[in-house]
Amino acid sequence: MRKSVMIMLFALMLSTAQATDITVKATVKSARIAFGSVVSYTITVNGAQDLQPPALPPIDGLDVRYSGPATHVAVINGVYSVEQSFNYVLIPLKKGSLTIPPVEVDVKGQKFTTEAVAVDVVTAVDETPSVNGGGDKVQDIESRLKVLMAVSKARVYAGESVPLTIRLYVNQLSLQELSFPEITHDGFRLESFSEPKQFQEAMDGINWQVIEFSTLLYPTRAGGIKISPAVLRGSLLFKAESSKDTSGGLFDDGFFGNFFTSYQKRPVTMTSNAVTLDALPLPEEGKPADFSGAVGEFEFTAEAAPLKVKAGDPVTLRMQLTGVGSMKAVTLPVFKADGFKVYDPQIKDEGARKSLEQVLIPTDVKLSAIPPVKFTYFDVKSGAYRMIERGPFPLQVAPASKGDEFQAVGFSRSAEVSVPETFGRDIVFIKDHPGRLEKRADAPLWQMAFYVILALYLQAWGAFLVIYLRRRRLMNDPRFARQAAAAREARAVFKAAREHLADGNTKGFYEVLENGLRDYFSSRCGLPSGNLDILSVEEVLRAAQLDEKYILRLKDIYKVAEHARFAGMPGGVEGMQSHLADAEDIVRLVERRSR
Amino acid sequence: MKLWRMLLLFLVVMFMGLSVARADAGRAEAEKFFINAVKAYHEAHYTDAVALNEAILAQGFSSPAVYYNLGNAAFKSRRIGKAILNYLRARSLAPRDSDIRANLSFARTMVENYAPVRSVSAFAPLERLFSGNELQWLALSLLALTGIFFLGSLYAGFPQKRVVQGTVLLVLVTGYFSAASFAHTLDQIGASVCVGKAEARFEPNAQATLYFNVPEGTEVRIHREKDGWAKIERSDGKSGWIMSVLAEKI
Repeated sequence: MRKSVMIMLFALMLSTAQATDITVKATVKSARIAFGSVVSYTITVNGAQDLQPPALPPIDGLDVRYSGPATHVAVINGVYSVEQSFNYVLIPLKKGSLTIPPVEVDVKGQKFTTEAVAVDVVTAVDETPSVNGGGDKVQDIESRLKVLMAVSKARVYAGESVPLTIRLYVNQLSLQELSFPEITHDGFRLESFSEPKQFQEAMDGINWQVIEFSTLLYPTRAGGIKISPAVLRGSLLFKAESSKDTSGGLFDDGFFGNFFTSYQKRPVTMTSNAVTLDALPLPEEGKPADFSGAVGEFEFTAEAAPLKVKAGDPVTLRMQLTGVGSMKAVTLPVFKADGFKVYDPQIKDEGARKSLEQVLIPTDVKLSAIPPVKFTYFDVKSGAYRMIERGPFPLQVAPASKGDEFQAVGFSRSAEVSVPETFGRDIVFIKDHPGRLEKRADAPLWQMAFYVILALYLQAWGAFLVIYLRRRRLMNDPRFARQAAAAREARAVFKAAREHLADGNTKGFYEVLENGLRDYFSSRCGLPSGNLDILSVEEVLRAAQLDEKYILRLKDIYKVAEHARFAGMPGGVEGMQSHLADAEDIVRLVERRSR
Repeated sequence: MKLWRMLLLFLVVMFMGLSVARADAGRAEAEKFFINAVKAYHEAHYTDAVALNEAILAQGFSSPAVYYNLGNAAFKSRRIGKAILNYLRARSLAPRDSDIRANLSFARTMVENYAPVRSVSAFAPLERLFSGNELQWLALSLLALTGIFFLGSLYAGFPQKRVVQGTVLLVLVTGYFSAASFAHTLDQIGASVCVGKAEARFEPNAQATLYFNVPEGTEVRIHREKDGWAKIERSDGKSGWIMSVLAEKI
């Protein structure tokens, strides 16, 4: 009952102690920070918990990111206190004195407002000066990032390839996770960007780190074409201000400074200038009927092999186109002629080279050549249409041997032409269920628990093994069993002797003591108890290097015991107590020596 | 004295109750983030999906699905390094998940100069089947089984030859699993992925001679860290210093 009352009082004490005043305050970790670093901003609510994080208004010159809550509960001298804080990371976007305005915090329906907090954003100490001190000219992030887009020619033909370059200029910023430029296509086609090049360039008195993306652009129609601004995405890396005092101290050296330094990322989107192209239409005059839209400067080759075949044997016709122009838009001539069975061509597009492979089967022995193949294109250099013709290719077709005609590919009804299937590749879709969300801190604890369990288990196993071996020896080795039991039996003897002593039974006392000691030494030495007289015991004790005084005391016990058996009590109760103590000492010493 | 013990017990129970309640509240919030991340991915807002999955991890929660989805969102945002890093983290928790393995394999082919390294470890089959925790549990269970078999056989009086044969067999199996668990733990030390394109230098400073380029997504091992630089070793054994922020440990 008393315990229950105490527990209730304690619980009551906690609940009353919790009902304290609510206070709200806003703090920054450091009121003066270097540009390029970040600062932590914390709103702390004292006296309440389970609150929603306050929404910060947009702050001029600062990018705000919520980084999570923290709750602190303490019981000091029986007073229970709770404090909930909301942490934000502020990333300065410009230098100068910036102010975080008062923030309204809703605490269980009550409105509280924090004080405004001022932050000075200053030039970083380690900021590398530019060519002529231009670093101070650059005050904000926007002016430290620049994207310029350019084309090599402003006046081109529709379909002509135009090299497009996008340069990203970065000054004194750490940029990561940079994406490839994104451009909205309208009136032109764009090839994939190649791997960007990196170099340094001085511009307007500032050293810029330049990342250059290049690709080819193809106008798909004539007229003015506006290339919309390219968008690049990436993350800026900011050094987080540590809580240490910058004036110096134990943790202000390089090692600890770097150890405690952390970085914050801020996504950034950069936009280039727009570029305009004037695309000329292709002339209608002299346009060949088989013109398929190839614009550029090309080389066209063709070959056929083998040129001596039997009717029904395959001949491979290979064409190759190289040069400058949109290979994707180019259509190579597909062979068709009477007297040939023709399969669908296999076309390979390898950047600046396009090739076509087609299987032809001559079915007529009268055929003497494979007709020529023609490729027509618009030459941007001369501004005129050109046609390249390759062939004819002389061919000798012999009649097929008997039976061979049925084995030729395409002539057998049972044989299927197997075309290798091409599969697309992409990642497997996301998972819709999170599974069991585990606390990430559990892993090290489990590691520790694993090794503790392992150690306990090995100890238990060792203990069981020792017990088993001892038990087996006790069963198989009678001498060991007697030795193991000797001390226990001696303790039983001393107990019986103590009872005789309490009853004043002198004769019984000495009889028990003498027999008990004889049995003990008999068991301990592995000798038959009938053969064990005091001389044998004395020998054993001397071998065990027992002190001479104990040997004398034992002899005295034997002597008095014999006396008591035949002539009564010689030394009274004190003598018996002394002999019992001596006997116990001797047994204890022998046990200790024998371990 | 007993009253104090009861008070102590009461405080411990109260503290544990508060901790469990807070953990459950945090888990519910993390699940909300997960649902929003899935929604963002469906709507092709991959950058948002990355941020939401990272928010779950920032709250201290994780699961193979979170790492996997984060990897997918990073992949779609063309952040191959981050994608591979998170697929590897997902695989360490769920090594038998075929989706994770497929996406990791595909993402690796996107890494510049990627050369697949075939594991020659004797424990590779086990590492493909079991996570680190599972290997530890299996090793511990086998150890217990070995002990129970050995002592049980002795107490039951089985023929000595049978006891020795059975125990040796179990000890060998247990040893193999324990060694695999230990090798897995060692393998995890310093294992990292480059989350950006890096340049490995001979010394840990920006002016040092360039040794080799480390494309984004390259899997490396960190041996040392110094002044914001990390000494990495790539699969062909070449070592160099890159900025620490460019390599994240698995």
